[in-house]
Amino acid sequence: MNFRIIAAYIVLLVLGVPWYWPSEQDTFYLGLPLWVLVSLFVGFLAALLTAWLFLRSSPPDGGA
Amino acid sequence: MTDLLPFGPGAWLFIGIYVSSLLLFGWFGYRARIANTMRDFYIAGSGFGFVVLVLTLYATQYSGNTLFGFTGMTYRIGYAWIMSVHFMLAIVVFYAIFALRLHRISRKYGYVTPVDYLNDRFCSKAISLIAAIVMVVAVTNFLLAQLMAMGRALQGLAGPQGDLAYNYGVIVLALIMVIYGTLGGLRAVAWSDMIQGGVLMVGFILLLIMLVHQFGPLSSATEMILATGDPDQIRKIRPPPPAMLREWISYILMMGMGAALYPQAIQRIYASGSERVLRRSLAAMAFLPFLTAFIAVVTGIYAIAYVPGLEGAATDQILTRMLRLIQEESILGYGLVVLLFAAILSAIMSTADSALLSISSMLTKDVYAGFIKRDATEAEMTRLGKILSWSLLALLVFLAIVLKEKTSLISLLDRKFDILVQLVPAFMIGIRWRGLHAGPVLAGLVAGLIIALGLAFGPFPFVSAGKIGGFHPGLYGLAVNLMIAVGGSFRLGWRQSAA
Repeated sequence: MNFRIIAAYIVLLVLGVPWYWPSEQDTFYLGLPLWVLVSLFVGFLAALLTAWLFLRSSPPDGGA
Repeated sequence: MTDLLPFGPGAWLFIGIYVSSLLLFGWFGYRARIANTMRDFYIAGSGFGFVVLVLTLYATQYSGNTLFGFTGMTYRIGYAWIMSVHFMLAIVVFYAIFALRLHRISRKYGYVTPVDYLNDRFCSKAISLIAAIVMVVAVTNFLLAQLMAMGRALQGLAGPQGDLAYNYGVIVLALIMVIYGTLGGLRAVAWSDMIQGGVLMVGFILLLIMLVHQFGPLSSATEMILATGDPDQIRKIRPPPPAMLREWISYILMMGMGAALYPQAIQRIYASGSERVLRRSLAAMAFLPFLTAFIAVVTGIYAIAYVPGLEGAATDQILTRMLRLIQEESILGYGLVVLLFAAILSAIMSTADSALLSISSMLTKDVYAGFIKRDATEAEMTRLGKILSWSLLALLVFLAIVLKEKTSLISLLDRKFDILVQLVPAFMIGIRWRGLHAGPVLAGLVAGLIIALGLAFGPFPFVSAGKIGGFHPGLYGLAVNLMIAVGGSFRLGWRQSAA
């Protein structure tokens, strides 16, 4: 993993942990508090990045 | 499961047929064996395709704890347990560091256990022995928790005979598991995982559908919690306080690194039919926390709204309280709960069978063949592995019955990872940096274990709820471990180049 990928994960971790929300945040979308929705969205971005990391240079079947 | 309505004969017949059918996989696995070798028995000859690998990884990683522990934890702390989605994803992220390289090396040298890699990489008997002990202890602890969960799953369904049902539940399910596991090895376990993983996945989706059907949309549950006006309940839907944020980061690191080093998961990396299969399986695994951990959190939120007032150990049983409400509603609800019960048994059994197989392989190959009888033949080791599986399971079944209600799922989970993460330098750095030396790795591993266990079990006033400043003791141990392993290796490298 190169530096840019590690940096991307650190940014996603910083955004995924809800430290920057006011403690009395009561806005809701789709039944979920906004801070939960944002955290899940960032988690989904991390999942996409991870899937891309694994699939970007997949060798042909049988390759070891 | 002390809160479910007792099942009728039809439900028992369904559960009985489902559980007994797992024995067939033992027979199929036995018939499909190619050679009487450790690699064929424990790694299934490295022949898993995408569907088998992804479902066996899924069924192994998501245990009874995902269903009971995660819903219970959400009930106690609220939406903040959404951190579970992140830490289950973190496991896959940490695989990106070492899984593909480890897979390549394992195929080249024919590895069976995780310690085989450490043997080759560091040529240190001390590292290998300590790593084997750490992994066996961590996974044995995990297996015991799964056996106890099996008993609890059956306990409440027998009405007044609950205690007896717990004992018989542990014994009968463990017996079925050890029969198919020792007959067909990893093939049988992975094939049964495929069914169990499928049932579990369907179970989670059904659970979500049942909750929405029974209680309405999630927004109404959230509004109900707000409407209580109780500050203790309302804080469960608001952003977590700073202390919990530190815990959040701690869980992501601990679970991410620790669960990536589960020996049974590493053996599945070895068992992948090709690198392409492994890459596709891990890519798929990255999205599964949204289908499982997230649904467990949503269940916990519904429970806060509709089953308020539980405290302490009872909160770990909140899932069954929810299921009872669904079960009482209609015949369809009753049927769905029976199906979901099968999914719960699947989650528990699929994790337990993988742990058992992994422990027996490590005791046989890493301890017996590594230190007691180095010239043991493959057939001899395979036979011993099966005997050890039966003996160990008998001992753990006894402990599960004797200990019964004495542990909490989450506390077990915490201590296991405190020691497993001390293997991070050896596996994750060792595979990427040739300059990592055995001496500093050994010193770091020992120091890390002493610090992690000392902080976890010592009488220190600054340790609160098993954590220090919100961080798990294992992370403090790992920080020192890394400094010694990496710093010491740099120092050795400079000395060698100066000489």
